[in-house]
Amino acid sequence: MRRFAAVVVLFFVVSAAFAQEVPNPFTAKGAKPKSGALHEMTTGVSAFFANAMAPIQRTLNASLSAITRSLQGSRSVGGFLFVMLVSLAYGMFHAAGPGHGKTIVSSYFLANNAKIRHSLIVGYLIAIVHALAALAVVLILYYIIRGLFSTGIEQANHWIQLVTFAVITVIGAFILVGRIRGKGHHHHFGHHHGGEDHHEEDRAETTRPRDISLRNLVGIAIPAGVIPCPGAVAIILFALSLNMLGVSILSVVAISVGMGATISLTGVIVILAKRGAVKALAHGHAEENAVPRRVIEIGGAALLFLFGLVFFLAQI
Amino acid sequence: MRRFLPLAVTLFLVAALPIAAHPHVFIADRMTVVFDKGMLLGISFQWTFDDMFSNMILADYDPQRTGKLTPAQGRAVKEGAFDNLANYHYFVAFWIGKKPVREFKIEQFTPSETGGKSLVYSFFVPLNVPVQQAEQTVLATVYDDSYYVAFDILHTDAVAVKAGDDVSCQLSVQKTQVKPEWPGQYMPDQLVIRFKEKQ
Repeated sequence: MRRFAAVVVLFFVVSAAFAQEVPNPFTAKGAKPKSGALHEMTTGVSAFFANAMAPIQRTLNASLSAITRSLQGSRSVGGFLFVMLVSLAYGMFHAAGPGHGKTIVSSYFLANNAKIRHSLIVGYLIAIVHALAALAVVLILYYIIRGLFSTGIEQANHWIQLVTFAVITVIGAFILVGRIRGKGHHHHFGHHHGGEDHHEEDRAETTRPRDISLRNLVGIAIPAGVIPCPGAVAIILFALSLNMLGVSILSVVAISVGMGATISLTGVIVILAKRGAVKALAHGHAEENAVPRRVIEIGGAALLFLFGLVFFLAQI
Repeated sequence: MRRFLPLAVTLFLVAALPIAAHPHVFIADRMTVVFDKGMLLGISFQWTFDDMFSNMILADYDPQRTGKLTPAQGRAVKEGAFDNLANYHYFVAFWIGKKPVREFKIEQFTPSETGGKSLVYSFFVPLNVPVQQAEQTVLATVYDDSYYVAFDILHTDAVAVKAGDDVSCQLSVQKTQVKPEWPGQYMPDQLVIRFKEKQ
């Protein structure tokens, strides 16, 4: 019963964290609804809650555009603070939706020996990269390329996703191989291991993955966050079209802070769910080398790898 | 177990809630049910978009922001920001009686701009159901199950009926009455149009 409950919780946490961002059905040429039982089940579950949340999102969206519009040509400090406050709330709610790097963070934390603070760091790193990517892409499309923005942004997303998912697949593959071989080893992708990482004796004693370093966190936050946040894109573009570059930057900063909170929280939930599941399944055996932990970690790495691969193939 | 269960429930709630908040495009939909010459001719739709999506499309296709789309601009909007919806069945579904309408056409698609800020899409879907003495039912849903687009909650207030004196027509809203494909599938609200010849 306890085992069953543990598996159920882990399943829900993982499936919730794994819902994905979809392209804009209006402007992305050739975009189609995704199908497949699992996809339909996850959207079915999310749609149920979504209908309760949509009015909140709609209100945030409408107030943000109304306030921004009303601040045109104004220098009211209170007004700017209000924009930031609404943007903050918008960021929190928006990042709760599918995508926004939560899948990558979730499977990465399942695969690794992650601590709560890692989640806080990586959540904010992703949010910053995510918002900066949105700002950069909008500014480039708006001031340099100057084509149709609505189709340009979908094309830009396509190419960024293609590269990102390739990188994720490679990282996932490295971690997966490491976990299957049972070595306390990190992915090598994009870093060089320092001397302190080479304690062969330690590895022989335990299959437990090593602690995550800041470099590891940066290494995963960049691919997880670099797909520009569509919510931030819409807001920046809106402010730009009213000639309010300053406001758009302020808004993006606040959105990052809000998104960081949500992404961190997702990571924390996954870490706690993993701990709970390992504990419940270990039945008092030594948790360090318990089979459940290994299974979850290999599973997490496999998810990261498959997730990267599936979405990479979907972009080709 | 006792310690674990509350944790499980909390985790489920916290984890399930977040994926909820997703939509990027918000649409206020108005419908008009059109009868003429003893037929339910079809339903016309009027979608008013939120400021941000409106702004993106209008900045692209009416860069001077004249407040009015020319026929050429309208055609460009159709091609660039509407035609792809064919892959999504235009987010609409119909049933005549209990039979789903498998294929339908989109007619008279016209994008426009109102109030200098909102983009509006208008189009008509012909259904051509003869009005009979016996009451018949036509059902309609407007819903994006990919959840990129959120439509306003369906209300009969947002639906008009255009009919002569020879038709009696009643509108109501119910949960979509189809067999779920998986347990707990979400069913959007459905417009129920009941109509018959007026005696």
